[in-house]
Amino acid sequence: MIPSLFPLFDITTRNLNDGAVIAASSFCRKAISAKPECRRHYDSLKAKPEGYHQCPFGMTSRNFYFDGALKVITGVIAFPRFDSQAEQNMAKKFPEIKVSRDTIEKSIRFLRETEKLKAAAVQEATQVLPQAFHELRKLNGAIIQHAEKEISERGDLPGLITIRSAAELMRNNFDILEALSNIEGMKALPTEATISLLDLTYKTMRVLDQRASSRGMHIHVDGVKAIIRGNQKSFPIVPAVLLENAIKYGRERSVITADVSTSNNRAVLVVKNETDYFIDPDRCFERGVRFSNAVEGGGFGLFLAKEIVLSHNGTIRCDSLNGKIEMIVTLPLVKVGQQK
Amino acid sequence: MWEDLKFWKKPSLSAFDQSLTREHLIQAGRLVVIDDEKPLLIEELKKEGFSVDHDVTGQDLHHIDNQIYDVAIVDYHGVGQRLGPMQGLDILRHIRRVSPRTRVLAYTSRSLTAAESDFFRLSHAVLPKDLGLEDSLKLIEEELKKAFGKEHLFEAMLAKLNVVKAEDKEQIKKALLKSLATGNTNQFKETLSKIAGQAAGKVVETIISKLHLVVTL
Repeated sequence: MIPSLFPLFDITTRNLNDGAVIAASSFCRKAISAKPECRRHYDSLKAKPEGYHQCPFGMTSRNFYFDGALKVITGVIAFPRFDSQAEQNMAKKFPEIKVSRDTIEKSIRFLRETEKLKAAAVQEATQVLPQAFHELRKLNGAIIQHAEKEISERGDLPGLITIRSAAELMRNNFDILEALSNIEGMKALPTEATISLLDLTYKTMRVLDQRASSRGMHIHVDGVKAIIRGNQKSFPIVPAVLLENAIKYGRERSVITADVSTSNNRAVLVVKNETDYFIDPDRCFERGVRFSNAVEGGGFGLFLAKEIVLSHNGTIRCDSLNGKIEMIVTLPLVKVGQQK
Repeated sequence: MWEDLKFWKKPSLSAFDQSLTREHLIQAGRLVVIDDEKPLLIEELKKEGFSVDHDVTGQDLHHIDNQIYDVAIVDYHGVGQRLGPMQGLDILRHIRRVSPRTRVLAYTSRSLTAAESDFFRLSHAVLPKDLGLEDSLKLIEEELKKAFGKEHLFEAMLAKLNVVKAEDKEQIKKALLKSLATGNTNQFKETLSKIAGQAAGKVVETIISKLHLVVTL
């Protein structure tokens, strides 16, 4: 809603909002919903030039374009007047709605100035925010790498492992945010790097292990070392989303399994968990579709996972039966590597 | 006779990709990191024994133009202004043009605009700056290994010599396969001169030496 000093009518939404100085009169509110001549008046303003027009009941309407849409300051008696009988009647009936045209012009100018400032702020944000995001990622990357270095030099100190895991978790979230902001770019990334699905799933499990522990859950990863072709930037989002969802929506103190196998020249990743929430296997990959308001989330994870899997010539589906969820991803298999 | 033909496989260059050991890769590989900052990764690469140069501006193109690098790790922002306004993307394009054998890694954790996304698309791989050191080293080693792959070097050689005709490619490939099998490069160089011109051998000298690396190591 645009803050206005006077009653403001939005032609597109047909909403009449109160002004900060003059509220919309009950007469106008009723007329807009009930009187056909009132509706015709506002419709006719679409074709009229910006300026002052009298409504069939004697009120003043000032139409103007703002933020690409037609708005109308209306439900007032503005001076200089049209000098009609209807206008005089309204002025007597509602003395509190009198205003000068000069004041209305000043308020429109103010709105337009505000809009310019907003546009400049948005413009600046589009330049500054990616840079700020980048700096955050770099800082987070430095934490991961320094923690890793310390661990390799001084051993697996529990505090360092926690720090590294937290920073890796943060990186997963950065990846998801970035992918959501530029899905087409993410889908266009080269998918030629070789990725061990088992190693990647294991690594993701390691990152999410503490989060699972906090809900009394355990993640079990097993399978064969299926090698696929993929992108190192986008593909790790897939197991991260599947395991994160399994933790978030899974039953407390249950076991999540992630199994990697091969079948008909395809690498297959199956993530299984138990849940108390209903999930619609057909709709769970749609953008913004969520199945619980009790758990924090935006309903973007599975949508994103699906987009990434498809860009890797893969398939993803969900099976749900009696509180058991299976997320099944298949991808073209390059080879099966040797187990360590 | 039919039985022989049935099981006869067309020889491929990758058949000569004897597994180069990690030591071989470290010994023979040459890396460059083009980044206006000094990432911890450089220290780690050096600690592992890799020969790695650090170019903070991307201005000094001498080594790139001489095709000495096997892997180039290129940042996007703050480098390559000499080549054009697209910074790291202009460097990446330059490397791919003058030194097609060099595997180029897009080294950034920044999300790029649609106009800049070629930086990812044209790279051989993306190395996010916030990837862990162990994973980063693994990815770089994989790319280094690919840089010594015979198919990759062969394609790079054709690109460098601008050989486009299918029959020419086939003839060069045959000569290369023979030269790899026998270890004799002379006949191969002659074929190359015939097809791509007298100076061809010189233009792709480095690539030829890399192609025969296993033989000479």
